[in-house]
Amino acid sequence: MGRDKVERHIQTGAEYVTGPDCSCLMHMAGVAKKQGLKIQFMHVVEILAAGL
Amino acid sequence: MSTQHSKAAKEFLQNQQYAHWHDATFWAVRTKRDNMAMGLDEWEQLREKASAIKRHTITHLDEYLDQFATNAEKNGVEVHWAKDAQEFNEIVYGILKNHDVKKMVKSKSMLTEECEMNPYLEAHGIEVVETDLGERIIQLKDQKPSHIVMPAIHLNHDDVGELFEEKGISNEKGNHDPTYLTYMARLSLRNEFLTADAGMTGANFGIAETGDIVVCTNEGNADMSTSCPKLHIAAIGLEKIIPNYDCLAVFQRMLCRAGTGQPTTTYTSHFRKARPTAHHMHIVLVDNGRSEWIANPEHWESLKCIRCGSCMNTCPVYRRSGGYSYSYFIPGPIGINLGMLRDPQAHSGNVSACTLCNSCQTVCPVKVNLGDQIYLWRQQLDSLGTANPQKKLMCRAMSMFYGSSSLYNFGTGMAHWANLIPSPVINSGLNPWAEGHKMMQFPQKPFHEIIKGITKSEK
Repeated sequence: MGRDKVERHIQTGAEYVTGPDCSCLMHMAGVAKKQGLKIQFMHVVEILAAGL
Repeated sequence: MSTQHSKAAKEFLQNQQYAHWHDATFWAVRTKRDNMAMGLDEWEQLREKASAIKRHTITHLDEYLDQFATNAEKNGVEVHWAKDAQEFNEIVYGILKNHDVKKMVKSKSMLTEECEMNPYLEAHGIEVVETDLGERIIQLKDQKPSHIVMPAIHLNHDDVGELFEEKGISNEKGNHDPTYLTYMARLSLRNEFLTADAGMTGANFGIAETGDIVVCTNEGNADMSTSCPKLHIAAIGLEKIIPNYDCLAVFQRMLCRAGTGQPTTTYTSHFRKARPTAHHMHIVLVDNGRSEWIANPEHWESLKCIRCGSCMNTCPVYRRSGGYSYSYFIPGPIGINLGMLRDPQAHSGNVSACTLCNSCQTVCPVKVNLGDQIYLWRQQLDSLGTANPQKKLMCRAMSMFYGSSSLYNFGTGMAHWANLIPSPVINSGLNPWAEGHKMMQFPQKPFHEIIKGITKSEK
């Protein structure tokens, strides 16, 4: 399921995937990195904090 | 930590191409259901009505069963009551023996699967021929159904073509065209219908007001099974009884829309009494635990189920693991719940075959709270003695860690040292999370330290 989810994110053309749930992001990021896929995952507060 | 389901699912997923095809097949059926549901403005009202009818009927089941049996008997039908699977098999065998039956054709009945009727009858010298094409295919392959409505869905037309060549049902070697194969199956089954001594059907619904049983098929095999042989036996679970035709109309609109994405099955047949030239019609009402389950305050709503298959079609876990991964004969969300009612110790493994996405609950035409109930079962595992000891230990450790701010702050502050653990250790079998995932890199400073620093400096 993780692989299918990451695959669908990639198909949108997105470079970054964000969300509020750490375990969800960790799961997908772990799957993507294991497969050597370029898409990146950031928690939403990292994006907000980048503006501080 | 692995359950039977997760091990079986892992094997299923080894063949990624097959797994994708299986997943896509069921998603297509889910999509058809969506089209049907969105095409009816009153879809949600119908779901609520269907749920209400079932809740009422199940909580007054004694009255409706009495009414059903009385009316069926007024029609000249012989009504039998089976308290469990063994009694059911004995009753059916008794009726068949009285009529000297050598061969019985049957239309689809998951109830007979539940009671393991086929092997029982075969052991007593009676040939049983499945006439639903999917059931017939798996019967010939000596396999079990992998889905409650589409039992052979896990096979493709090459599998069926080769099977038919092997069994002499098909004449043209290498012709695996579905239309051709279906035509040859039809010829083969015609012969079975004409030479059978008895026909058995299940029942989608039993109507209390009239004593009718209602059977829905796309193939007309229930009709053929009851039109040719002179003896008709109908097997029905207690919970399938509904009050009257008005109620039937609600379920009839939903059953196929939900389960197969069709507005209705090709044939929706009522059976009220034996034809004039035939023997009696027999109905066997089966309990086999249902009357006990009605008394279960947290799980009785599983008895509302009309066996449409909608929940498994949508379930992301079922789609990617298949019916054979589950330990109970009914797979998917409803199977997880019914299996736990049947034998919680034996089927506890299935409750983790669920992401709690609640898609099942959203599509269920009778609003069975499938996901909520699975969540409840999970909470009962410890008292059932089937909670996984490693997971219990992990949960205790996490409670301690997350429950103490000093431990948590210390731990998250030190976490970056874990980045130095060599990868053969991290990826060893001891770390179950490393399978399928590359471990994350912990940051030098945890986020809440960074934000504390920022807010302090702003003051």
